Amino acid sequence: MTRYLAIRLALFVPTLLIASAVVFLIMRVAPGDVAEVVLSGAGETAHDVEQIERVREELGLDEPLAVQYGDWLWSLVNGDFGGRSFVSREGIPSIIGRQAPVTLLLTLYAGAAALLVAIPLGALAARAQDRWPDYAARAVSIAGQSAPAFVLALVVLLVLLIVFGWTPPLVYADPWEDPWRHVRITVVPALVLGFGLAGALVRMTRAAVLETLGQDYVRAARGKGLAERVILFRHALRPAAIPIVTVGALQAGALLSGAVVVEVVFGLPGLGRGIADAAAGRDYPVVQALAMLLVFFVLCINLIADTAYAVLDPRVAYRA
Amino acid sequence: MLWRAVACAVVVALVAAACGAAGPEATVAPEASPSPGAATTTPSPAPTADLAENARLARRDGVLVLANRSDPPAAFDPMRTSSIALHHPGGGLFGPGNLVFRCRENIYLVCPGLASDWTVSPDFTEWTFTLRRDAVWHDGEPFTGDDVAFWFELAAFGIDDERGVRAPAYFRGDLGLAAGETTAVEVLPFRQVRVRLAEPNPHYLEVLMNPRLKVAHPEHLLRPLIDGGDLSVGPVDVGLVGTGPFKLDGYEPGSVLRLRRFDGYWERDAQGEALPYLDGIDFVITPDAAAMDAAFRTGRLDGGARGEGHYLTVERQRGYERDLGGDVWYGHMQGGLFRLAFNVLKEGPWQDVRVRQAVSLWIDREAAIPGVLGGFGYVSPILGLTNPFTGNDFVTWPRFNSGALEERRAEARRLLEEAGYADGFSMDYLCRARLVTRCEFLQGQLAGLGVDLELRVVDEAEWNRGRVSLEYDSQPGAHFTTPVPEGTESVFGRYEENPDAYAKHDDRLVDDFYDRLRAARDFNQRVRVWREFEQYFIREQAYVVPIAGSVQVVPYRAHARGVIIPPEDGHTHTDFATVWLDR
Repeated sequence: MTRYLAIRLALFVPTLLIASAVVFLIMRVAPGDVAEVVLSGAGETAHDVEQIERVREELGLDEPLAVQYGDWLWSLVNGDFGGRSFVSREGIPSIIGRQAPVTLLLTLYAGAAALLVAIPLGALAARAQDRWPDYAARAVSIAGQSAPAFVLALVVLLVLLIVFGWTPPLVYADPWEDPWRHVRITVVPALVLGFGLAGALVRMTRAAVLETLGQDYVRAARGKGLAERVILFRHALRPAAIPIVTVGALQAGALLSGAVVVEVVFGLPGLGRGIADAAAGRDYPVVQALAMLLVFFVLCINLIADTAYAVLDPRVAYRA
Repeated sequence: MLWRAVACAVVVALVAAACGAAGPEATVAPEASPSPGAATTTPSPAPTADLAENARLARRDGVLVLANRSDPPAAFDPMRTSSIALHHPGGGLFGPGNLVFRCRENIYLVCPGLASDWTVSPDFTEWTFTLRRDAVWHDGEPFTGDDVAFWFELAAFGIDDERGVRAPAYFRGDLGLAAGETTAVEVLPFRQVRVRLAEPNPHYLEVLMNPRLKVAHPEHLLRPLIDGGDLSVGPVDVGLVGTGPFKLDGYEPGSVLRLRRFDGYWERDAQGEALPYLDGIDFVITPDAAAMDAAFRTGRLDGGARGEGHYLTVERQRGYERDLGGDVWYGHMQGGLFRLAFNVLKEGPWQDVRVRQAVSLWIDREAAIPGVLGGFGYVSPILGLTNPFTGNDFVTWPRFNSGALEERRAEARRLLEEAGYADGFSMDYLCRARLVTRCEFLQGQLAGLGVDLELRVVDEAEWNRGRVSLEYDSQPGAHFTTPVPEGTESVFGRYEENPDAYAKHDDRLVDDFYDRLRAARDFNQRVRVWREFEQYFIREQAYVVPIAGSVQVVPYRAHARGVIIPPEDGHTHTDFATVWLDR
């Protein structure tokens, strides 16, 4: 197991290198130029070519691509993490330190809400197969999977406004600064974000539990006279957990991308909104650094999911 | 139909404002000002027109909460960007202008700012400003001639020496300093500064009063950093120290920018009391317009954000009226024109003037107002309807927008046939993704003429690159920054000299018009030249096809009093020094 983990961790390096090259090249291939964005703001300004060239020089964009890539890689490992934003001049470690906790807390709440609701609901739907609780759970899960986050976020906002005359606060607060305001500003976006994940988890849990409920050991448990609740949650759900964990890990990436929209609509200053703003402004160092951070998060989540298989099912063995 | 009624009401209000009596006198009317003294007042229902009355009623407390479209870009540096996301909060931090600014009662007049008065040499090449004694930076340091010289030189020339490169300000051309001239700005005794221009400019103050030209660069804080090698240093690196009525209290990127009253601000109201009235302003970053609407309607905001996408449409305003009724008022400002500009330097049918005229005649301009401008808009050739340089005669110009649409369209078909394009032609159009509905409107309109308008939809970054290139057949163009004729050369001039010109052309007659404008010594002469130019450029040559201008609508709660809404250009008077809360 230790050797397996060490090899997986070592594989992070080439994966991150490939991702860094892809991210770097995509930003350079994309049309547009950060020098012009810096000069033009919202496109309201007349400017000339000479000025653009001077800003490009100022930002180091006149260097060959290989040199720019090398400089950036070096700054990733030397602690600068890519230097500082071309647009705001803020240091990237500071940007990450400010934005990452917002997104991590939001996705944590969304994930926790989804798990708390989806797994019992999926298991109950399997138990009540083809009866009204099953239909209701399936309807909710299909809605969760098919409603785009940007539509759902705006609909929820409008419902809150029209029905309750209430909207979340506008200014984000950390949980340790102002817990009540933190709850009020994050609870709705977390539920919106978690709804999509819950949809996928309900369907997967239902299918996996249905499969295990037909196994011989479940029949044997029933024959022993165990309570249906114990059979369902202790004997059927645990073997069904492997596909649920797989889907959950895959959905974690979707959760992070969904955070982009939810953060914009609800005014949360997180990584999702940060990367969207930076990409629109061709703020190369920020996009590259945040994209690398997200790649790192996804790799970690996948590693955790892989190691969880052995915990959930003792028959799983790891060979390096 | 309702939209027609609303559009007509807005247009009538704007025209009425343009033709109405002048507002109250400026606090000081400098002798040297060559301003036309045009008559205009705000066309909006803003409860603020009378500043003397406002001063009598104002209360001194409270924090105003306004939405802001995004975090201010470019390190809060007004030398780098004209983005309204910076200039909305920037007015409070850095003040409403520089040495001079647009008068609060009438934006077409020049008022003293950080300079209390000025003189000009007989040949209009040397402007000498006397700085006011009571202007201080937020850190308590006095505002001096060295600050002025530092700002002018940094903006006009940037830095290009052994230390590296710092680009000059995007508005360096407006400053009119001669490149390489070491004595372009001279600090004189008795708090005076002399600015030496490369060419005579009798209208220099009108260029200088552009609210985008904010002084946000304290010499005593920035020079040591630049001398230390950090050439790209900007206002954000020194704590956003300005001379405006509010100073920085806190900035949480992505969330909120908090400004609080600066007790050392120099400006006084009509009662002689110090401005500002408010304790502070919180600018809440709300990138999503729907979220801003929801927050406003639930009472979390006192005012909306300025900027395209956040200005209200008729539909959105109905939602406000439904929820808030009379507890809200709406500031109306004329905004940028929606247009189609030809790249005449690229081969194609549009190089034939008859083709361009046909396109201009064909478009149903009034249809654009409800179709793509959210229901608020107006038709005008170039400048806003309330602008003193805009004549009302354009409504009768042949081949612009006069007569029945059917007649104009028949003439358009005839012209196209005469030019040899009876079967139509294909042309591409650089289209900003954020304004795609405008492009689709044009595409739909021109399809009837047989013009296949191929939309090249691009994001903001490519838009910024593409619009200064010669790659596209046509494009909408950006906004110009100065609502005075001389300030439009960068967008109507020849491409060789003005890469960001809407229409890419090489017509030297256009140079002549601008030379004549610069040589004009009185207002009437300028108006005559400008109106000749409009006819030549828009009607005769049709290099640019103006379609409709947007009226930008910003909501404010009824308790927000004293907000100055300019008749045009939403960058103006964003300092909110005269605002107070009547809760």
